[in-house]
Amino acid sequence: MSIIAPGFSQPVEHSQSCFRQVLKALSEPGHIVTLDKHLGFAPLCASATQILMSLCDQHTPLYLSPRLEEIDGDATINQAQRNLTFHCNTKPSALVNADFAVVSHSEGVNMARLKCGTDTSPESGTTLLVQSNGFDCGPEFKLTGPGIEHSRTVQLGNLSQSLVEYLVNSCHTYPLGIDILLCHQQQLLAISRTTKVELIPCM
Amino acid sequence: MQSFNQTFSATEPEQDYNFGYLDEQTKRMIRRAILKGVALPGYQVAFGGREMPMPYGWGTGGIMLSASILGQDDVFKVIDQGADDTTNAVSIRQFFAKVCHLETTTETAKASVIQTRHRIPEQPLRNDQILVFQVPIPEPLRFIEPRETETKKMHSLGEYGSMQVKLYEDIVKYGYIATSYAYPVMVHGRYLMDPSPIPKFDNPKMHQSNALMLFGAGREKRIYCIPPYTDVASLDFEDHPFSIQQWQAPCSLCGSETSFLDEVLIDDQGQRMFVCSDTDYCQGQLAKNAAEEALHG
Repeated sequence: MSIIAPGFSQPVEHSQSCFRQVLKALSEPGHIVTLDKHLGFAPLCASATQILMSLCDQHTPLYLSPRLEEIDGDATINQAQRNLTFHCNTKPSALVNADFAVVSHSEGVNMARLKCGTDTSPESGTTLLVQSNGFDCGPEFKLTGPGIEHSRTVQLGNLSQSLVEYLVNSCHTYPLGIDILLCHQQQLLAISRTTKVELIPCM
Repeated sequence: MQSFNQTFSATEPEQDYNFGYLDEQTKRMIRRAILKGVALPGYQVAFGGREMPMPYGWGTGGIMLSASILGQDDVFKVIDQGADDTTNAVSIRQFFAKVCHLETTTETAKASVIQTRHRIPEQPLRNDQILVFQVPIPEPLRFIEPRETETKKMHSLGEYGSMQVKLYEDIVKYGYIATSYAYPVMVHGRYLMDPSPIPKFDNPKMHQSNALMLFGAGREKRIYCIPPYTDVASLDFEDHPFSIQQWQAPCSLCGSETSFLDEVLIDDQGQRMFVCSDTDYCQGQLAKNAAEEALHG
């Protein structure tokens, strides 16, 4: 069954306010912001949906991982894709070509396959949205770098080994890299490619 | 159908432009460029600049950035060389008051977004404020290497020796680094950046700033950003460390000894005075002085 769900009730205002929240999150990595203008297209969570609706269009190939369906058993990824295509005109794409990609926190992602930019155009790296299972579980990380006054300690949920590995010991060298937006329900926490992430050993 | 049109016109006041003048597609493209710019502090992200209803050189880059970030709740301030009351500042403020119907102010503390031409306000900015710079020439290496293909390569290799040589030539010629505005900086230890033609007096304010800083060049179609709490270092030499301008006398109006002063000719005999370039700061100091005087009789 294919039903198109409504998008933002006020597209201009809501996409602006969502963008400002994403801007706040990315310019201050580790700071949690709330996006509360839309409930989301299941199985995508509210914050991931709002980020895509405010930033994506026909110029941004989008990848939605089939593994997201495990989070919400009833909804299929095709349904979310259809809604996004209707509202933003984005085209589905393979992971390797995507400008925006959404994956599940438990998924093993081969990060080396994602676009990381080139030396002369590092901005063409993928923006990776990771749907997390909460910012109050999982290992603790210490973040330092631009946007962080001294340091910040955060929990990012139960991330897969490959995601943790990428955060702590990226396979890309700055300025190349992938910017990660972690989404949980209405919450968003970003890790920029400039952020230095250290795993705090368990006591 | 007629009733629908009537309801529509009753609820929507006369509105000829989209909120913020730009269309949504353009805003999205600029917003994506801003986000990548934030992830790459100091790196110039190319974007599809649009024709604005004013000529290049009037701050179209800053205006496109402001139009993409401003919302209904923002309070907007515009300064031109520190002043709120000059032509450029007044016209841009009126433009946004017209196309966004938002509140404008001249007070630095009240503003949530400040668009600026060639100055950073004297009053320290807060973390919830955004500073938008108008940039004429974004490429710091442009006068050393005119070819864009080469400067792109120099940025990708971090090959910035020629800029050090330019500063060294200053020392050989004048005995000190004579560059006093658009003084080159290294951002996050990686990218060489032109801070737009702000006086070098303002360079230290960018280092570990509380506020997010966005730079927009309309003609050259480049956006670059400095997130808050980022290292911004002005280039210098061990034996010629970076230093800022100093003045012999305080501001003639408010007596401030710490602000950036403009030289103003006051008569045909060549008499001159030095006054704060930041008008809002100067007025604030004057009000403070008056209050103190009233208190002490």
